[in-house]
Amino acid sequence: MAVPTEIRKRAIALLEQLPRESLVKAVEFLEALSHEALQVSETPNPQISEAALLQIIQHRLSPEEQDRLAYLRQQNEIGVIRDTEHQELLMYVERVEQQDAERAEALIKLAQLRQTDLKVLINEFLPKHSNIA
Amino acid sequence: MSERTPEPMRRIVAARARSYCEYCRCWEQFATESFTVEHIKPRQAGGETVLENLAWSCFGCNGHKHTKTQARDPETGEKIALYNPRQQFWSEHFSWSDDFTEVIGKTSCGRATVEALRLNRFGVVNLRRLLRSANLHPPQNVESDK
Repeated sequence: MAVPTEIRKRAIALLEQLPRESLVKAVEFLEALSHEALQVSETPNPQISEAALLQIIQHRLSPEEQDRLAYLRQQNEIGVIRDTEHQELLMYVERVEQQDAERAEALIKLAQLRQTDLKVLINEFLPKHSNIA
Repeated sequence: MSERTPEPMRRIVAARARSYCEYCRCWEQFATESFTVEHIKPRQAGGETVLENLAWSCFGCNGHKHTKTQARDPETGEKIALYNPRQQFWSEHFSWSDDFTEVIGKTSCGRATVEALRLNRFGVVNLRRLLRSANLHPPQNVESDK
């Protein structure tokens, strides 16, 4: 069975092959699916435990992956990244951004569960970026 | 060419953008990867590390912009200069979709930039949808930065 990133790549590849007239239909179909997915995710699930949400919120890349990503980002920032490294960086982009969305969803659910202000949880669980003046 | 932007300058760029990505308008608060100083005109193309050439960019937009300065407008096929946050206003070139999850290019420059930087990346669209449900999206009062 294909892993989710492969399925997504396949879907993107298929979309890129479509002629413009079919693309409109495809987008309408995807929007309908996306709307369904949103409705499912908004349905309260009493079985979601605080521990499960915390696990999602606290999930990070492994130390090795984090080191590799830091290296790739530095190479990119100083303008010496190679093409293969740049492709690797973009794969991290997709993965990290999706994890950030999952983390935000878990934070919102945890705030509802604890009946706490979301901003309190943001301060508790999300990194403080040193660049913010 | 291969030096990191000095920390005091990074802080100025971040504060000027109020910690929002100047391209996709994502809020740094929800990103585990810190945002970065983007050279609008890349260093490889002679772009200098001066405030007029720097933008605050999320990890994803910075990665996709890479060394690009131009891209094709998907409607006309014409090659267009990418959006420049120091010289142009975001709202003149972009708007939000009705549900605020997608950035729509209003001009050739906007459309080319949406495509080149993939401003509607899967994870970013999901994040906007969630933040919208918590009344934390779209960002307010960030239009004054030019």
